[in-house]
Amino acid sequence: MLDIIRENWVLLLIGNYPHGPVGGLVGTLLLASVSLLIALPCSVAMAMARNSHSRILRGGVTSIVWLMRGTPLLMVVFWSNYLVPLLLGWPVGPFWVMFVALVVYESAYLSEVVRAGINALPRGQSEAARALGLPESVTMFTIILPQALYNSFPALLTQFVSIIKETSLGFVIGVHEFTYSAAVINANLLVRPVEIFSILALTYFIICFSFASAARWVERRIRRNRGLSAQ
Amino acid sequence: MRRAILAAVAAILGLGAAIFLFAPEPSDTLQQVRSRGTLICGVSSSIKPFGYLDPASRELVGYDVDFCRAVAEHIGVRAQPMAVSVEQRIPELNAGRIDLLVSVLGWTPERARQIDYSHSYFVSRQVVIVPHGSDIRDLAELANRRVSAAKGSTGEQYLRVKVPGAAVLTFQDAPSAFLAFEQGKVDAMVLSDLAAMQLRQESGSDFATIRQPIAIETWGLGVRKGEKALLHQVNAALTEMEVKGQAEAIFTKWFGPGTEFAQSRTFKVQPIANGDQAAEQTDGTLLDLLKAPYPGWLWQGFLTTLHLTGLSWVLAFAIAMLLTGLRMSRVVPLQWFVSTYVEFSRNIPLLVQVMFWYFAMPSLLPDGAQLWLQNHNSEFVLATCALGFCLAGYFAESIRSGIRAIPNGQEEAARALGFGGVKTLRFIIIPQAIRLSLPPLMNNTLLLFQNSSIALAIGVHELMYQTRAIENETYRTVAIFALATLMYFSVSLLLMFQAARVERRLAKR
Repeated sequence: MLDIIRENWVLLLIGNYPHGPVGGLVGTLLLASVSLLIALPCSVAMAMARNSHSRILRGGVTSIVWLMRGTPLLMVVFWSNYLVPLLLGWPVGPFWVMFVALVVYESAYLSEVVRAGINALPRGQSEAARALGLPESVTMFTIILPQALYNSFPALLTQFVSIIKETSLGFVIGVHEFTYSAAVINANLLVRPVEIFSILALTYFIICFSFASAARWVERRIRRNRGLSAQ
Repeated sequence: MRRAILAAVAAILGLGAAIFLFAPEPSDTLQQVRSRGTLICGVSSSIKPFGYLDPASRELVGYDVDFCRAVAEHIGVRAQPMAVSVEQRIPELNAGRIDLLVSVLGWTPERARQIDYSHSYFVSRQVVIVPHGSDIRDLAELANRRVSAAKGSTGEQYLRVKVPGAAVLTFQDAPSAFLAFEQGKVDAMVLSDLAAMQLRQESGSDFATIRQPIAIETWGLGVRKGEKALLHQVNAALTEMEVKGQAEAIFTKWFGPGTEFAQSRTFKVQPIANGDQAAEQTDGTLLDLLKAPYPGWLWQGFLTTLHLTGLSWVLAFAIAMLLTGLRMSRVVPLQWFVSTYVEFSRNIPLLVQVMFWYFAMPSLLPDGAQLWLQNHNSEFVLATCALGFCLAGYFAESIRSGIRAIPNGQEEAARALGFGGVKTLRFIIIPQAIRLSLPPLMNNTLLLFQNSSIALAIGVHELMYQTRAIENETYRTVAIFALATLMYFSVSLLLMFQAARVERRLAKR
């Protein structure tokens, strides 16, 4: 097992960069981070749209969320693989295809997290703001959202773990991420799948478990800071 | 809520219509290549010695890559090899992500309808390999046997035509298909004779080749349809390479004496016979999708998905009950085991778990179990196990949250009434816990149903796999994707409604 890591660690870490796109573990983390970074503002916008007064806006966003919750991510990935280059009119690499799929899919899920955060705030907060004469947008951006995002930070971290796991589906459309690196090594060595897939699974586990544990730790802290009873 | 669903369904259908308004504009690729200064070639990344990642330099190298470089040099630009999978190479070319396909591409009439071929640059024999001592002696005996092939390869297509009765199992690439062959999951494998030679050396295992080749195929470089200028340049480059001996030199470098193949070149660069004839045929229509066998494929895929979901649900639930029992025992190591199990199942991507079960797990099993798997649709069984064992972790967590929600007084009251530990569990705690954990369990079920699509990675013929297979044959991407999305969506919707109903009922109590 160690000799596989010793001989292939660069491939596992960064893929065939600089002869190709950044891949391997770095590719996985890069894809996950960039996706979360863009999906987060989208999800906040969607959560606000679902609480807005416009019925069209509310209905439209609600149906997107339902559609995403009712479709396997793999289906979204295949759609994105076909549609993104077609709609943009120029060729798009698999990394960005996967990025678009993750942003669309995760925005819908994250918007549920953010919405739950907004709805969990006591009504008194927005009522007090209105009583003080603050306009609705100011209330949203300075009173509601900061608190809601702070409270839902652990849930966002948990969702980041999901995104890391989901990037592995990029393998199916040829994104040079971590699973792809392992598959290339497996194709080179052929007869040592147990070791290669153990390395792959353990590495994913270490990363995801660390983030999940961090999420739990942060959650306990936030509960204490906000004066809520720990469960 | 109902309006939202209607809108969602309309969105799926509307999307299909909208796409036809955005057809990509035709452009002259040769001009783009010249102004960009690079020729982007699609090459394989896992087929030695044509295109593969050299582990030392992590660069793409091989026979195909050398041809790409030579053609680029002839045009006067830099070559930029890009890895494409066998299955995705033609869609990638047509999507414009690559300029030229140099990717073990054999000529077939179906492909010639989708892309244009250059002159031939390689000739290969497609053969069938079987384990030593196999009872399969000629091609006809492949009927009703399981044969592996790389997804979208010519071997696969020839096999379907020549031996319609064979059960073809396709894999992401040739090495995966070979791994399945070597682990005895299939009875035979179809591949090129050179690849067979290569795999024999690499793996150190031995196998027999059926003498009669399944096909002799001519390989060409692929360009998008209608790119006359680029095609002309490529053909000029190939002809010049032949005349100057460069083509011969590349062959000798990868296949000649001194390599493990020790072959001599028996072909020359020349126009592919029948090359123009097929190009005349017209495109199919949307109605192609309604023709046999496609509706049957889709329906069968749908049933397999439901099957897979149902069986792995039962498995997951059984394991979850076991885990819950272990967790409630007051033995610390057992509780430890359960937490570790749950964390592992939740923190490793399901795709990786599926691949682990499929490629690694069987070799850890005793011989008897391996033999049983070989004869019982191993990819379906192993996918069921992977999904079941993974979801068991989620189920166990959901049940635990239900148990925690039960007030302590319940257990104390049961004890006061003289119930023993087991009886308390059976009659007081578990019935309530199941009821309380129903909503999260329903959500887990939804997750399970949707994630069953991941089984496509190991060749289970479920809905997503069949969708892709139909797309590969008909190229009616929008219609078939919309149909599959609708199928997934309607079952998911059913589950989501049920979950919402259960939650409402619980809230009333």
